[in-house]
Amino acid sequence: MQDREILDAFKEPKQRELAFRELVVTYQERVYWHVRKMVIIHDDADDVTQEVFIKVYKNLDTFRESSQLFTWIYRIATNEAINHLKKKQRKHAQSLEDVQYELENHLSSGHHFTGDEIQLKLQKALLKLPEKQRLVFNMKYFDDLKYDQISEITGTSVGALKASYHLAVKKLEEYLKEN
Amino acid sequence: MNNDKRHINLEEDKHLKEIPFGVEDNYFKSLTENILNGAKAAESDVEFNLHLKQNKMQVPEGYFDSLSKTIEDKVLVSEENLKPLEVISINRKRNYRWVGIAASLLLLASIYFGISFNKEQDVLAEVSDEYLIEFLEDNTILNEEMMASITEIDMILDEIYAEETGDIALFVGDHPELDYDFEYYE
Repeated sequence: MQDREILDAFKEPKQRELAFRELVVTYQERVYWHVRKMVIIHDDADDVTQEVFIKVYKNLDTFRESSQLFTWIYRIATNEAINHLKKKQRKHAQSLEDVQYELENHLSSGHHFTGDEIQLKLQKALLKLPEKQRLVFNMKYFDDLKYDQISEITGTSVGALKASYHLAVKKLEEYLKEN
Repeated sequence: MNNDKRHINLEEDKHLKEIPFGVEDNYFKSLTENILNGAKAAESDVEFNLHLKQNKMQVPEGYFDSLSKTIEDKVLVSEENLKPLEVISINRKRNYRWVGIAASLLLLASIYFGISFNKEQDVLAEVSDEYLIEFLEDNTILNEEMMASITEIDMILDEIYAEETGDIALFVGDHPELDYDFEYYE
């Protein structure tokens, strides 16, 4: 099913459930990995991914199709992932550094981590970047999104995104070189 | 891994592009079911059922047409029932005496307080500068303490406000550059 068909079917009460299942199956893995790269811990990524799709379900009727369905879902996922990190920070009265430290420890524990040492170092280095830079890097580097797509998702100009990505790459390479 | 400070080029080192996280087998199958169950459960959410916002209560036919007339009639009846207000004339003879007494008292009070104020200024002139400075410094500390407690209250209120207004508002506040059109929150 194409996006158009999913959206049309969702408007029909009888086909709604089927259409939504199709949407979930189509996008759940991309959403999960996008969220996972931000929140790192699998259980958190699981919760956030479910939240994302519940929001999609509740709001799909109001989707104005001014952007692609995928971009819209990605935008929700991005907001939910960042909100999750903020919430976590506030819930435990932690600073951003505390959260980074906790996530670093989780990475080091090797739980649900399949990469090699250099990949682990890259992930740890990523945690040292500001959230926005990390987000941009993830979308450009791992997800191979184009700048204009990232621009639509984050509402940031392409120029600013290029600068952000370039800065992120420079910092990461520096960190990997030093460590 | 060797520890030499070799240069790593992220763009060239393709294996770094692989996502190094794992999930259990069949995780995505169960995720689909969890999401669908969650969506089903969400259908009963009040916010999701916008039709619940519609007012289903009814009034007798033509009620609003006659409502304004009913209100007007009631207002007229109340006005008729009102007694005319008594106008008190200041020209009444007996009032002259009271006005005179009040004016005299006012004059005496202003003279007394005027003298007291001058006296107070005289007393202050006799206080040494050192004592005045000490007194003002103490008061400043007191004010700072008060300000600190007000700041604490402010912080608590801010926290409550942040909880109430939700995470999106907070997030957008922290990142104004992300303040774009949230279609799905409309």
